[in-house]
Amino acid sequence: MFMRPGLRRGPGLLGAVARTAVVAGTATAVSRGINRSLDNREQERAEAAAYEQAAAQQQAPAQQQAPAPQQAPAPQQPPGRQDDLMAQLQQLADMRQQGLLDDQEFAAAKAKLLAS
Amino acid sequence: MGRGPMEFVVVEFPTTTIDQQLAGQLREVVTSGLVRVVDAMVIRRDEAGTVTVQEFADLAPEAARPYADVVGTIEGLIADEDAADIATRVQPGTSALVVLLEHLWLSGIAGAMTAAGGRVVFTERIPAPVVDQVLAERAAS
Repeated sequence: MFMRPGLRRGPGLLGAVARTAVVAGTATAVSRGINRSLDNREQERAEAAAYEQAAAQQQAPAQQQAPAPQQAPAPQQPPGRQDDLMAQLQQLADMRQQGLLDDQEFAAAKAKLLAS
Repeated sequence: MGRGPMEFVVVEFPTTTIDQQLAGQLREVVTSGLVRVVDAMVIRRDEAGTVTVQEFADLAPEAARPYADVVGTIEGLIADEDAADIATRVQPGTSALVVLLEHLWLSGIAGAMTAAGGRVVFTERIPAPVVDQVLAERAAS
């Protein structure tokens, strides 16, 4: 009666929205279909603002890392805290956006990050 | 042709079976052509917190039947990581119907907007109970 979908692999829609919002700095301008607490939103706005600042400062170093993109995503700080993970995922997304990582490298780095 | 914006709607039911009446309401908007259901699944969380993701193809026939003409092609757009994200919001001992809607009525508007050089800077859905509350407060003031 119902078709069975293929594997539900690949980038998720929710994650894509979060990444797009952060990269474009439009975290407040994206409709969120899923209810989130106000606190959560405020935190997202703060993170987006902080990320924009960090991205501006990292522009130059990010380009120097270009020859060795595989090393860049390796976590510099001990992982564990959700914030760190989010920041690192955002950094990866940004690097893909800038063309420093291709989709395969991004997926591999993300999987490694999530597994660590 | 570009796709319309999509929206997750996740409805949690206080039982382990999904509601049948919702199918009728969904059918109305789907039949109107305003909205298309592009993906759907059921996420259950038992009392111990264990999450089970169930495809419509695996549901008991009597549970799935009302949704047969509502859920169109299951495109598999809801990725595993989406399901994992949504599962964290589902209370233990309940089942949630996860529906991914495509707003067909918005794709024309979106095209016209882009053609005119416009861009969406903000969009927010106000839940109906919030609207009711605000209207009641205004009426009282």
